[in-house]
Amino acid sequence: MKKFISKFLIFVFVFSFYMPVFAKSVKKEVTALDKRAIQTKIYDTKSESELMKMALNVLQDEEYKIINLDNDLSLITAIKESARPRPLGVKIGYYTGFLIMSGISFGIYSTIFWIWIKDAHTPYNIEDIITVNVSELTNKQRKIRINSIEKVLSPNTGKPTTLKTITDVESQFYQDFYTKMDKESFITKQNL
Amino acid sequence: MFKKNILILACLGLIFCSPSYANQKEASSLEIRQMQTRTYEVKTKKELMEAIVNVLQDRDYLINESNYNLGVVSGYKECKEKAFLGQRFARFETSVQINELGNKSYKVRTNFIKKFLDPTGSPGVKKEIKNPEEFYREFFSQLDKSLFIESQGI
Repeated sequence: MKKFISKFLIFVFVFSFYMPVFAKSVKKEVTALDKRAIQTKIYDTKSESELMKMALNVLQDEEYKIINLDNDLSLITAIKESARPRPLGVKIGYYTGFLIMSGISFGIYSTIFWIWIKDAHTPYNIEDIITVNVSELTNKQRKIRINSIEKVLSPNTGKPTTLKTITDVESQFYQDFYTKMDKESFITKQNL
Repeated sequence: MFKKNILILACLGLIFCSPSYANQKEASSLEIRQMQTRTYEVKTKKELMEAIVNVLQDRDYLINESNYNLGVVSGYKECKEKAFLGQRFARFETSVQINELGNKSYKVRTNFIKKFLDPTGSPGVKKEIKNPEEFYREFFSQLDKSLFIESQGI
């Protein structure tokens, strides 16, 4: 009995070291100010429309289509549709499923499942929607703020079946956009 | 005796649950307007409209229509929501309108609509927003904060 209790206590002691693995990760809530800090950048331009033109050029470079433009409020909304190949993990999942299902049916339905596999190579349809907001800070400085949503749509039916919606707060998206804006600002200043 | 006790307990349980089936009193159009409207005193209309756009961006909304002269901004947001056995996609739509009352005073009215996306991705049946009073209060408190932040030039 003593042996059993000591073994049990050792097990509990060792298991306790693994407890943090099961702990729920606490997601830090992003405040409105944090979002603004990530989404906003200040540029030295002559007017609001100059910064709007710069943003429009970047959007056109990125193959966005303008769906709403308000010059008085300095607002732009644009949309981009693109395709993205499925990740390797998903493809492996499809092939594993094919092997299992063919095995279960002793190869009888393998032709049907082989047709099913083509889905693994059909890319996801992506829809990116972006809102650009330009406002005046001082006589020489203007503020630009963007926010974007990425939607992944159903690939095989072509219907807009939403799979996920991502709000790009922590991603590279904003950094990439502003790097392009910096380049555009340089081009505008050089009158190229 | 035992069966009788169980029957009494079941009856009592049902009685305690009955308030949840009670018909909730629907708010009148005037009450709804009151909930959706606030008055602000700002220097310019543009300042107020920019603050509204910023609040919507803070709440991850995308602007799909705006008109400065009419003082209208409308936007939408699509997000995941917890549901029975998994998740579902919800779409929040909003339109905000500003009316000038005079003497640098503006009336802001907003309305929010919630819809669930059906399996084809298109917005389905309209759903009521839970606790709308708090929902609108939160929006206007964010607008207050946004106006303060912008007046400080942050």
